[in-house]
Amino acid sequence: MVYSGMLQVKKDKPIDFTDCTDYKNRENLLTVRNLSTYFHIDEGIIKAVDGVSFYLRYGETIGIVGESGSGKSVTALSIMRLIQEPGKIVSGEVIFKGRNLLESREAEMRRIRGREISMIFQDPMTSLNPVLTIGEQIGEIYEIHERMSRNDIKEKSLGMLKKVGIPLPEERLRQYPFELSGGMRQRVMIAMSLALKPKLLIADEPTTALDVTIQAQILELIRELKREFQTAVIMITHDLGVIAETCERVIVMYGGRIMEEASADDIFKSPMHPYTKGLLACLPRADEKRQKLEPIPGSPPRLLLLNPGCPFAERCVEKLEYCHDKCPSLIEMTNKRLVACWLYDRDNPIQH
Amino acid sequence: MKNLIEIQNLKKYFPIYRGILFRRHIGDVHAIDGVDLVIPPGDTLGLVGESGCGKSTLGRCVLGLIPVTDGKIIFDGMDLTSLNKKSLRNLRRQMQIVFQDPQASLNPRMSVGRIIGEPLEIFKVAKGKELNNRIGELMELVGLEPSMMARYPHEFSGGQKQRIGIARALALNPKFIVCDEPVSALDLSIQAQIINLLQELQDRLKLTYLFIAHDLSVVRHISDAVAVMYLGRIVEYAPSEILYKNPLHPYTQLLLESVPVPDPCMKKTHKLLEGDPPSPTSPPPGCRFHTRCPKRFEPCDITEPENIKVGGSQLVCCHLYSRGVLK
Repeated sequence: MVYSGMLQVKKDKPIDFTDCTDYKNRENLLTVRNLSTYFHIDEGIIKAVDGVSFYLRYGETIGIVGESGSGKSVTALSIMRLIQEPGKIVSGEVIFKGRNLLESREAEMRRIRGREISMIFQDPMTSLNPVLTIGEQIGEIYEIHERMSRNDIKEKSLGMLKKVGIPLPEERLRQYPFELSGGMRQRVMIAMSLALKPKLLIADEPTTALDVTIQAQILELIRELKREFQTAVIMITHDLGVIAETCERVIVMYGGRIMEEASADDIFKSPMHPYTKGLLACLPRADEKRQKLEPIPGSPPRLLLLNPGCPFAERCVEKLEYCHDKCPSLIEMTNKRLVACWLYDRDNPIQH
Repeated sequence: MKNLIEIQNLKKYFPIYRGILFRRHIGDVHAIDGVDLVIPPGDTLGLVGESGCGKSTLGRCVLGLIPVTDGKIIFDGMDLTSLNKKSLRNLRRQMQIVFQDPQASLNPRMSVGRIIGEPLEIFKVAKGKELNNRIGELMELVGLEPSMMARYPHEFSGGQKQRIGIARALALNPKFIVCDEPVSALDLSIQAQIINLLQELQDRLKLTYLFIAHDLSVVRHISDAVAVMYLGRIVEYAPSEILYKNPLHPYTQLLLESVPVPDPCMKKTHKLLEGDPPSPTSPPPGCRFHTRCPKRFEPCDITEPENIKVGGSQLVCCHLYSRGVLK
């Protein structure tokens, strides 16, 4: 293992786990290294994303799970470079197909968005334009990116609507978003996001606003289309059920940082980080009866008031005395797992 | 045991009008269309269904917050639908509601103490120092610091706001609380705190809940019995363990099948429920579910199924189980 020696590094020198081969692999579709996005507001600086690193292979599905304010959506927006004032990407690299998106020109980014990386959002009503027909909105993508003729555009749009399983597609093209149900709108969003066969789809809470029955339909649709288009997916959600059903690898975020990263099987079977353990213990289940839920005490952190230590320390049941003072970095455990917690860090001040 | 709540053949239609000068009645939204339910004292009845099936409307009707079109709601032996305004208002002390969005259900310009104390003032239960003491007690009961009484809702987190909403509902010592999606706007770790709080309060204060939610996992956890609603009708009603282990109605089966299981080993190919629910303005004839039902057969689109008792405690409204068909 690349890491075996690294754990003995002196503690004043932070371990850079992104030196590991997985992060240098040219075969990765996406490599995010030390990404930090801060919001500068009057009251101070909000570190919405603070030193996040992960990678994604071609065709892989990765899940980012976390509560509100954990930084999962800001991470996605940073990858797309859609962060607006007062937010700013202060450091890091987003390497997509070998080039750093954070250094690309805006014109180049416009070509990448939609064609190479596309995104679907939680609420399909607010992300569709209410005064344009479905046909105009899908057609716009082909018009801008491909400069197709009208007939081609219509044919292509129809084809996409059929692919996402919308009944009576000819009629739908002439309809406005308000005439469609929530599930249909989300299908239209998916049709738009996959119109140009992107290599990466970022789905930000794609099913949170939908009923379970419709959620199951949409998740199945995303799985099917993923197979067909060979698209890699970043699935952002707070629903651990959705993660378990769709993802191969899972990143758990809290307070703008990655707490744990592991394969979906490992996360659910043997969670390591106290936060991940807590999340699984407080989950009511439909498939089995639980006696009593064990909630995580306290509430999610206010990012303005974050102390220098681990963001979860305040609520952690296994915290050590110095957890409040120093933030643990991600270290690699067996089975390619990463965890950021002093409990597992041989480098921690006391054991030294 | 006498039931605290009995709902008999409840109907609620919302009329649809068209035109400005010549307003005419062009139809009705059949939000609730013949519902029978009972809730024994001290129990929690979970009410589940897709959005638009009428579950929130049912909650509001049970409290007498909106007038019903037809049917009876018997609370503790009294029929709510026949009471006049004054006696209904007095009866309301015994039944309260907790809403989904704690942000929207608290007045941002009132201090938390006033929000919780308002019901006490309205019903002239307490005044002055006594009122403050009672507010403090209520805040402690739901796990809030009484010293935060003078603060305003925006100073609290989502979970704390929901606790304020619960304290307000408890102010008048009600017997019955309608919880309308009380945890669906909350983060996972907070959701568990509020569920546990509701359960503790139920044990301590002998409360009866009508728990409305679309999250089937939460409902399983908190309910003694569960009613599944589809397009204004109850399609299945059973004690919660029985319903989750052995769902009978095809709708319940598909609904449970759709819930994602937080265990990657259980990854299964879902049997999907096709399409969207039909519009409640013109519900389909016969069984309302027949347009999406994978097991439909001859009588389903013509005759309405009746409630059939299976195994003593499970009620299901489906032709598959009526005796005539099983032959």
